[in-house]
Amino acid sequence: MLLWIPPSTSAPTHGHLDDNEKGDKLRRRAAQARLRNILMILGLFMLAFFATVSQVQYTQERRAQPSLRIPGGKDRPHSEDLTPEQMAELGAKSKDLDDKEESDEEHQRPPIVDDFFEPHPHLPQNSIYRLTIPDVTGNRVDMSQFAGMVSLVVNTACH
Amino acid sequence: MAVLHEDLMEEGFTVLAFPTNDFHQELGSNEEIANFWSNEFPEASFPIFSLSSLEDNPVYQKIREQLPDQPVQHNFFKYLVNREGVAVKMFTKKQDPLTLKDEIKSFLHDAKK
Repeated sequence: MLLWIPPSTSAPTHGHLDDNEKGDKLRRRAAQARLRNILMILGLFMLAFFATVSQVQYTQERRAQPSLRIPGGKDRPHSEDLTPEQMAELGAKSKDLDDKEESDEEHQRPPIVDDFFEPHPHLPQNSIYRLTIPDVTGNRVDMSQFAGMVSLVVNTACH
Repeated sequence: MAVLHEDLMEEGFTVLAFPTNDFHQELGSNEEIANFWSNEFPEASFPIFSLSSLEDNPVYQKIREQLPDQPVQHNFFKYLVNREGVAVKMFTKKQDPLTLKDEIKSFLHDAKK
């Protein structure tokens, strides 16, 4: 019903239109406008849906591989603009950088630069509530559930 | 410890227990520890984490960064951690958990403001 456009009942006549023909024309115009609006809204919904899905996937990937980063990053200049000497120099530099990052990662993860995907933006970088660690039964516990609470961390022993 | 947890749970407090064999008084495996806790302290409702060495435990790694001059020297050292997850104070083995109650309580109320 919403998508239906009434067909024109008579051949278009140039010049004078009677009232029926005018009514038809107006109705058709209104129906077309309606159709356009509906398609536009549907399109926007789909766009929003895909954006959400891809964001969720991206966040999950990031959680699974928190140290995943593109070496060099955005700052690496376009290779076409460079002479071979510059390229070689750049390659050596970025290799050094990668090596350094790898050795740093053993001590601490590189800070996540992108605030949009930051899972706990309100917690300080060194907060223990950013961690996910296994409990005694083997379940992984997301410590962010304790964020906002005061806690007492105790190292225990049975004897 | 369990009493402390129960009493202050409603006010936004929790105990986090980390079994460790660094001081040679812990059982050998997670299963044994889980059994021990459920047999001896069935009332303990706070989370008990996996057996680990404090050297490798990411929580203790962070705490060492936060309070570098206050290391764990024996079992049952206790760190008071604020609402953001940063350790603010250490208590030694000798301090009975129940004597900390008033201090934790006042910390809870200060932190609310």
